[in-house]
Amino acid sequence: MAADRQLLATAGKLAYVVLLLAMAAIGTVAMVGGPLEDVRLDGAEPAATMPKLDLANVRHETFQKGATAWFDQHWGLRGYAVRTDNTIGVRVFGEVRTDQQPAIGNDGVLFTRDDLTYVNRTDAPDATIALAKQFARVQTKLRARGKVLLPILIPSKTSFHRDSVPASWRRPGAFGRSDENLYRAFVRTLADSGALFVDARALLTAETKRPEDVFQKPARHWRRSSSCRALQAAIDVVRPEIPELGNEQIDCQATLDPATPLISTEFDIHRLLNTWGAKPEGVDVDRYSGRKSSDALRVPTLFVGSSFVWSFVHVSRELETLTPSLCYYYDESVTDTKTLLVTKKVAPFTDDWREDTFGKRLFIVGVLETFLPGDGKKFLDEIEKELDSSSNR
Amino acid sequence: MAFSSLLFLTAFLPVYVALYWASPRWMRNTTLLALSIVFYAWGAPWFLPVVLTLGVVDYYLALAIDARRGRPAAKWIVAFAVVMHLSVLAYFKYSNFFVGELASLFERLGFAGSFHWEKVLLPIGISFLTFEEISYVVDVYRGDAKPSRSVPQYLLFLLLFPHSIAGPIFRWKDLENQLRSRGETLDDVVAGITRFVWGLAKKILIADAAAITADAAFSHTPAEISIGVAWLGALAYSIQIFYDFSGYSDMALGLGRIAGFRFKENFNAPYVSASITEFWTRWHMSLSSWLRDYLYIPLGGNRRGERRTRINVLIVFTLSGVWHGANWTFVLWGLYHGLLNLFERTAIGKRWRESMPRWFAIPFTFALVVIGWVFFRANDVEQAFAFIKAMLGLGSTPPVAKLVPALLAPNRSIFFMALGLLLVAFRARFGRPNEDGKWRWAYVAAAPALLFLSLIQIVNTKFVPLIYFKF
Repeated sequence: MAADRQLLATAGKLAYVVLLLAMAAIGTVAMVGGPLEDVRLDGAEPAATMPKLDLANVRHETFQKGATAWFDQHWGLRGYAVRTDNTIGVRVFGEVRTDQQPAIGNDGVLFTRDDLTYVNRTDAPDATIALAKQFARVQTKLRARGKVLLPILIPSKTSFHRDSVPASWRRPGAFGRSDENLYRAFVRTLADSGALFVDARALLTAETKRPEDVFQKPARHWRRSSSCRALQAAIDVVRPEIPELGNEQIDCQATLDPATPLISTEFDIHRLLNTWGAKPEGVDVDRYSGRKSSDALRVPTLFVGSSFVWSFVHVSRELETLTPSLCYYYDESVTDTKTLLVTKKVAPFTDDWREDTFGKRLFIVGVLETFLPGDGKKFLDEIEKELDSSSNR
Repeated sequence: MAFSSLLFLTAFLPVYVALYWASPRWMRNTTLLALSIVFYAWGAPWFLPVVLTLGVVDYYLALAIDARRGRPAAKWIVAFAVVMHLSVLAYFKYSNFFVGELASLFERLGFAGSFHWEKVLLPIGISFLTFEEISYVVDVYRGDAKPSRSVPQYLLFLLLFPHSIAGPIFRWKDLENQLRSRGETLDDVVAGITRFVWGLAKKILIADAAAITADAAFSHTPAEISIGVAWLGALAYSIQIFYDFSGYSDMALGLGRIAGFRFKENFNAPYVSASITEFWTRWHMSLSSWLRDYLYIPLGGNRRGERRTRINVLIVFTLSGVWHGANWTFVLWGLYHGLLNLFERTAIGKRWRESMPRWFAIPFTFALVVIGWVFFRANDVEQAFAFIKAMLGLGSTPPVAKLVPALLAPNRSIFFMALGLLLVAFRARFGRPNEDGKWRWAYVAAAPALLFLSLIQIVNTKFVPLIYFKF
């Protein structure tokens, strides 16, 4: 009897040790070809490659660092682990890790950290005012060459879902102050300088009833219908400067697709959560169903900006409007909007760049309310420098 | 390779347990030495030849000391060994600091950029290795330990992977017998792996969660620090450093126990100390006892009068600070503790200690320790004093906070910090919940869940996806 109990105790201890070691090793076993298949993780990350194993690499620790990064990325049950940990974070603590991009707002509204950084900004409006004046200045210089520069003030998600920004994401002493001041200063300076611009934030605020009409709860970017509406307003604003546009207008009619797949961009922040559970309900995708534009709207156009400008590219491509067009993207790549292929990098002051840039009639620059990402500012500086130097020649 | 890395946890650890226990008993030390060399080489391959060479030199020096016992030559040899090890430590750990200080002095004198210096890389574990090597030759000289009769055995003592990169600081005399014969059993594996998992959980679940708040708080510039941020940051760092270091020590002790080693404890509930003097008998005990035996006592300890004792105390604490890192902040941290310790030795201090009830003395001591950690964690001396000023209510509150609460004190961080403090209180009330305590069943039963939670968090922290990314 005592021997049996002893045997049972030993078996129990052995099982305990085996259990813990198996828990530790199972992911590595799965990585090297075990029967377990991992689940997919959403979001992009740079691929880690296994470095070459040689003496120099080992001595300089580049092999160890590279191999560790490769191991971390290829560990067999990574998807299960990440999704489970994130689910605990979201369900138990109601938050996402601080080094991750999504932030959980009230009423199921998801934000990116950039949105929340923007709403909490406290800087003085000097740079914003200078930017507005530069827009007006460059606009005038381009007008002399028969070109039109048009900034479009793309709304921030926090401007429409302001009440959904939770208290924990409001910077004590700052919230509700500076971003509004900057916006007002920017619009006022543009108007006072006589600049042409489209304030899509004001436009959409006046025309829409629900915040979701402009920004879906789990989406990073504004809806296609909203961006198309902003382009309509852009056409109206530049019409006096480009008479060949006539009275034509973009047909922004769209149908709503309620069976939106999770892969859609309307769920991009949600996907980044990488949690277990169903996709959020009540999210539709706008699908353009309007007529293609006539030749009048085929004005050679250059789109400049970040991913928010990308929706203009889609309008241009799908409704064959404001074409032929190129997009100077935030990473300095040049995209042909007809094929959506990146054809080259922006190479300022080269003949190729001059042809691409000044071969266009209309320049649409996306400003995130008052924030012009580095590439957009670079574009403005470069084009102004080119205009100045060519007028001096 | 940190114990809390995925590679260690999911590859090295299972391989270690399997290889060690699959080896015949006579080969187990060889297996351990091979694994330890691989482990060390992974982190500092370029320093491994130095460690091995110093180990072999030590081995022969110790034999030479033993052979000349009682003769002046033995003293010269031990002095040579100590100077050699301290020189290696000074070069690898402090040369960048001294050269940097010298460069800034030259700059102030108008000789900017007058010399060029290639930064020296800090080899992992060098501070621990140096102290272990010194204690070995000194113990042999004092006759407290016999010299090793086998080079591989001595190298195993030095490089034994559970302790080689971050302690605890071992002494040859404590491990000599265990290195020769251990009689390890399945019970050792159960105890060891459970201890390891608890240490891992302390580090991953509590220390890393507290680190979020500590790092965020210490990202503030002096002008941005409010009283709330200062106390929150200092408290978070106090929790972080305790659970990080004691968690690491638990992992080291657990890994050793898997192979049948019984290492000495390194922590004994330091945050329930009723005085700074008591704190230093509970915190990083392997370092405190080393400093006592190899620095304080050789300096004369308390045998040469009160004035000399005070100087000795200050020297020991200051050097303890310097040992932790080559920065003025560490020097100040050491001095701070030295001065507090001196105060407790005065008549007023003694009366204070005796008259204070424990329920008051413990939180009061804890607050003093928390303030001390500010020196340890601050990016520079200016930030340290700005934090302390703010903590004492002497700073000015900035009109706009630098960070939102979600970044400064996320729910997960607050939860685990609170849990960390609760566990400190639990430990004070019920003692160590390990294999000998009455909470043994909960201690063992919780291990699989703790391993699971730690593991998924380790994996997740390496995944930082972007919405879009052009590669």
